[in-house]
Amino acid sequence: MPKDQNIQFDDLEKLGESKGEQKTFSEEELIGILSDREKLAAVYKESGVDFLRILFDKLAMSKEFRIKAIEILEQINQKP
Amino acid sequence: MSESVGVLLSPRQTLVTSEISGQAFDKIEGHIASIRQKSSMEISELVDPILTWEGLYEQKVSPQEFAALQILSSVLETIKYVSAHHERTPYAALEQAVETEHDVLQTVFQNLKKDGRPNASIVRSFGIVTNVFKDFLNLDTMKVKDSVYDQMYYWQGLMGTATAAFMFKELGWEIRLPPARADIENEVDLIVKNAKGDIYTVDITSKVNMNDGLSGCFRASVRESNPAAKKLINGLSGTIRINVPPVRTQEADDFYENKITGYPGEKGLTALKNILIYA
Repeated sequence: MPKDQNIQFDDLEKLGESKGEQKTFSEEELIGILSDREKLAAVYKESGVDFLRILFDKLAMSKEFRIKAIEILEQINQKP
Repeated sequence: MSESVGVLLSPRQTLVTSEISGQAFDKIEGHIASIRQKSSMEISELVDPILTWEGLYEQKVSPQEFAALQILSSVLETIKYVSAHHERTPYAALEQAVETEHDVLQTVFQNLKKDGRPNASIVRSFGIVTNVFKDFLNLDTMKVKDSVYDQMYYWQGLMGTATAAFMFKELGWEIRLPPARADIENEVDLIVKNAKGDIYTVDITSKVNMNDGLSGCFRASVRESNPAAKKLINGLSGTIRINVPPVRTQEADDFYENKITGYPGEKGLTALKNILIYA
């Protein structure tokens, strides 16, 4: 809907329904994003809550990833 | 691994589910409150307390708690963006504000109980946002002028839209979200369709009318759409304008079943039904 003109009702986003296809990130990509503060900000701005959901899903599934993520976030937080 | 990580991954403590849920939210609420003081938000600042909590109790955040976090996260990000521009809100910030509103509405409506009401985590997240950001979310305080938001509080407006959406859902109407441009430029908050197939744009406000006082807080009318809206949506039958009582007003006590989420009560539903019966 680039011009937002003559839109059909059925083509509009339905309230209460999932938007469908969700962006995905591999574990390596997530670690890379978490490790880089600037990249993290850029991805979060672009993907917003989708990124958070993927991140938390991954944290729940993989204990190794969780430990790695904690280490990275601790390093980030220790930086001045 | 540092000492603190060891603490994070300490053996699971025995807590009943409700206590865990409560502790998670309390921790988040406290953390968010401290971020509010800094008027900024880093993603790691949100992730950190969740990691800490999950590590401590070795229990992942539930889907409902995550949905609540989504609301906090979206609102925080948008507020940070909008508040970075004190004098004049750029179009991109307005678009983000609308998109955040849509994200929150989707989160709420994708997490309803069987009876159609928001689940407990959503209710709690609304309460947290309302309490923690009651000053911060006030765009008048933020001195945002020359924008569609200069007349109302962002959160109050968002809740007003949620209330109107609940009302149309209860009345059996189909609800769609408009493109952000339509909201910003044409005051189209929702697009709805009744059982007959008639399509209306909905313009929602949540204000106290100084002339009518508190008793005039709920108003609704059906009128002809403006040319821009007609051009936007095919087969548009008209525009419905609704003003729902701000939750802090006296009228809200009768109007809402749940003032935290803005879920309407029977009085509110009947009032709208009486107006829409001829639509």
